Amino acid sequence: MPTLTRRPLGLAFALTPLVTPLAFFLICAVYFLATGEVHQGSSWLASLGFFYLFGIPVGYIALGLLGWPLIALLRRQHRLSAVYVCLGAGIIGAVAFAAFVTVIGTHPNPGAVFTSGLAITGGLIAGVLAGLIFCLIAGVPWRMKS
Amino acid sequence: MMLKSLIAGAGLMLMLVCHPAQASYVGGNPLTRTDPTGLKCNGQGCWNTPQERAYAQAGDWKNYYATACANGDPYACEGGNVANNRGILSGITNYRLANSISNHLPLGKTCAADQAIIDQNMEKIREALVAARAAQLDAAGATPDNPVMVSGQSISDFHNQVFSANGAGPVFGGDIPGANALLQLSNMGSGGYGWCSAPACRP
Repeated sequence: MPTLTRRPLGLAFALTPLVTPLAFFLICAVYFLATGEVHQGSSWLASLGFFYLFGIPVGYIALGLLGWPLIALLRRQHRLSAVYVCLGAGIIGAVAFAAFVTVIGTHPNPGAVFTSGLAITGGLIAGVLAGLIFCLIAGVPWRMKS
Repeated sequence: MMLKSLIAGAGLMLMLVCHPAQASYVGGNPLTRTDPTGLKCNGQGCWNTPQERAYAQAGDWKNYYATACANGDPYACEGGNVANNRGILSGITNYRLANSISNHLPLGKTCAADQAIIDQNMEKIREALVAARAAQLDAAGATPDNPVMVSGQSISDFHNQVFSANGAGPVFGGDIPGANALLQLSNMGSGGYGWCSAPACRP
């Protein structure tokens, strides 16, 4: 089966969970600054540490359990394009993020978390971001050539 | 007199339309702003009930947080989570605090001696934090007639002051950008509150 990508997929699987927390942190930092959720003495370094502390395990688990099968499926069906990868990654991100906040929650109520707009939006953004980074690293084409 | 009644009536209608839950919370008579159930928060802010003040001044943080949380104070709910070490985020918060105390201890003691000091200081911090929170509301003149919604900065300030007075550095978890949003998500199953949520706190 041809790889259909310019660089090895293994490299993208290895690096995506390492790069995504930084990219997600930068987006969130802009959001926190815009919404005023920062004050004097805010610890940005600790915040970045939190993104990596949680982002790396969640990223590798989501990529291994859901991302890998998605990429394999898209390759088998000759549909490996950035559009499909990002669409799938967005859905995976929403599920993974909701599962993550359920696990770290003090009173788990999966129903409330999984239907929470904030959790779904946050997960979608993180997922699409991870999909884009994956495609950039692997050199996945934006659209399949017919 | 008539004008006053009209304004009061309009205000009541507005509140019933916009905040029906709050109106029912004060016995359907929000104009008096009294609190028949003894709760410590309404839509405008929070105040100390005599029982909560007594718990706080006695250093009884367990009962203070439990009572204040049950009475509608989201800050107390999150404070109770951390003080009782409930959940992964509370574990990380307490680990950072204990680590900070440890880093400020002089060298040359045994691990057991250091641990005893850390445990002692952690308990002192828990006790001092509830006293500081109650004092903060009292200092702001918070009463059922004058509910107060404090700023996130002021909560951060009294935390770091208490930490500093008890051998730790300024490691208040709320100073980490994004912590409030993460807490709101992690507490989604029980109200979706963070350390700085209305009516206790405005970011």
